[in-house]
Amino acid sequence: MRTKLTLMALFALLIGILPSMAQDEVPYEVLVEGLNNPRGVNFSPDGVLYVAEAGIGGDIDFPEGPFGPAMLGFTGRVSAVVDGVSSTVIDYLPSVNPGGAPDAPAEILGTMDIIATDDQLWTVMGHELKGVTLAGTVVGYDRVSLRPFQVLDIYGYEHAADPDGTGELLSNVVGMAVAPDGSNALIVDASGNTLYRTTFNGTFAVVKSWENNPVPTSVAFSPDGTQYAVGFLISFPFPTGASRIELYDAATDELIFTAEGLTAITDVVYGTDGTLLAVSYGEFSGETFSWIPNSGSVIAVSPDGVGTLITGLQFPYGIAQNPVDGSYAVSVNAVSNPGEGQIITFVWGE
Amino acid sequence: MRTKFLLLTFLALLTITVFPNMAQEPSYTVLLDGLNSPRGVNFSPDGVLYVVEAGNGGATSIPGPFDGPVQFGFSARVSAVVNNERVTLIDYLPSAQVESAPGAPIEVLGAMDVAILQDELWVITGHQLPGVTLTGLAIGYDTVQLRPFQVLDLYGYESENDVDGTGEFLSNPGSIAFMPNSKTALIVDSGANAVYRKAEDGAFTVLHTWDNNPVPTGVDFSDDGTIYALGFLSGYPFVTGAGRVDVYNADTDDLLVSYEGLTTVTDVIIEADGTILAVQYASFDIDRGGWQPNSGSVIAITPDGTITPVLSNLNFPYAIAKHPIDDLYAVSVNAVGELGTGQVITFSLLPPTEG
Repeated sequence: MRTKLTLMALFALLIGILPSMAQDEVPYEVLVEGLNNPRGVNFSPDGVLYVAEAGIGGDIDFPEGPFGPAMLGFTGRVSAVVDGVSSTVIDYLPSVNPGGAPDAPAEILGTMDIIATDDQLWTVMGHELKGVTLAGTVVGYDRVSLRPFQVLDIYGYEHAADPDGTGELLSNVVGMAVAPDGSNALIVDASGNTLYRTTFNGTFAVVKSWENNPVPTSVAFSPDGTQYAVGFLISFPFPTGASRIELYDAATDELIFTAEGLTAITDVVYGTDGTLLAVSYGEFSGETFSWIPNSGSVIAVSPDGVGTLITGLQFPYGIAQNPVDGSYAVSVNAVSNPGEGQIITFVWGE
Repeated sequence: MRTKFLLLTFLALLTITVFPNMAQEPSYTVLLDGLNSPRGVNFSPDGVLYVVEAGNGGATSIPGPFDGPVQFGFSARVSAVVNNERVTLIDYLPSAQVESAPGAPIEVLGAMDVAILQDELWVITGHQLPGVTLTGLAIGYDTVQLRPFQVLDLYGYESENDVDGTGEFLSNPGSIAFMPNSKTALIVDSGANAVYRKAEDGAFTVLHTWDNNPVPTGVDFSDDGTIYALGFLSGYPFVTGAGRVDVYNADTDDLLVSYEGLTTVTDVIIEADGTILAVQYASFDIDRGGWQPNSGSVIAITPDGTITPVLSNLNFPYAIAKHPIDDLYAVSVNAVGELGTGQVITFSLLPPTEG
């Protein structure tokens, strides 16, 4: 109860002071480059950075893409970064190029997140693609042999049960987080507007669905496992300030607080000190009906306030903290031409 | 009428003698053609035929499971036959074309078998390829949405346990058969020389292994579930007569009988009277370039061990299935060879009925 009250007070205060906060930009470095549409990033407990790349689509005609004709390939992959050197650990994952606006990079659909535990990797395989086995699934791999041992068919569940009750059967599983004690994991389906929980027994169940298409993109547990945060993108036309982050009690799944006034949140992470960081993908122009370049940012929510750590990022997407040295990693150019994706790293906080 | 007479004569002779006269074999019909490396065929309980194609590889050169690269892609698939037309159900499974000797048929590694229950469909994805998620697996799909709900990592098990104790970590799961009225299945790994039993919940355990590389291939249960049969290819150089079919008691898993002297058996089915139909893939002659075209066959093995040819001179047949109600058999042929030449043929062993 005390925690809840404190947090509510904290957030009420934070939202109020957000506009007036001014602080120095946090410097960052490019850790990895040459990536193909990097999305989710995650560190294993021993400090290896894993990156999910959605890929570059392919050369297979795919008439029944989620948004019309597309080009299918198997160019998605998961890479591991050790000492700044990236190597592919899981390859040939499905990737679709649905096309894009003229002069804009294609918004590739593919692998969206990667979770690393001591002995497992979990891939979160994004948008459904008819007839493509791995699309729309969450797959557990042995971290050493890199072989799959479990598949959770989020796409199939959405089509069978329509958990958000919209009548629109669309699945785009994009985010996952494992509880610190390893007892369960939460999975978000952005198009299904649904949060799922699995206890690693090969099945999963709905925790919560949202109406009005808020597009949940990301989920993260607090370091002590008592809370989790869900970040929301919001839907087209992605109004600036219309997105939010919701905090939940992990034991009861009850909403503790909603931080509103945010923009296009694609990932959230709790630092080891309990600070909540989030990625704001960018601002969408209602005039040009396109995402504005270099309008992405990394924001923080802490006992000292809510503020902006880094601005001017080109389509950042995922964020993670290295448990070994405390540094953060963020994927940028998450929607970009082939090979332009990067991982940047910065140090912030205690 | 003539056909009827010949077939009746044929059936009468089946159990007593080898049939030397090709003219008296049943005629067959080409049900599907234009396939790429068709392998497993199977009927669903309601009589729909499913066929697995290993595909035609692809444009990406990657390290293969043997020496040398393979041309890799996602061209393997599972189809159903509806109104005599092939309809793709599961697409874009991994496929790798192996470098073959000049003049030798094109060999493709890919999906190998399918088994269909009322609510589950299982696909065996064949030879493991380094770094490719959907190889070396048994994948369970639901039959309504054709979406995956379970993966069994047969390759991973072999690579961790070296099931056959040969020190060679090879996995090539090739066949699956369900116990009648059960979700328990047997899965054969040719590369690991192992047969696994899959429990209803998907847990699998080693049931049989062989340490002299007999290369188990096809598996089938009798309709009453009391016995099962395993076909064996034999290892290189695939000596004529070195293949066999073993029959086991399904309750005790004890070997009941071994039919030896067969050649490169790739699939088996058990008839209601205990007769086993087996596919012999081809004869291998190292002096004549290896595998010999048009040397495959379907044979019948009666419980007393009498072996009778059913269809001869087939070009690289691979799998056989029997319709659950009708007297109709399906066999995949040209399972290895020029791309697009694969076929599924059908035949009957009973005379046509009047009217």
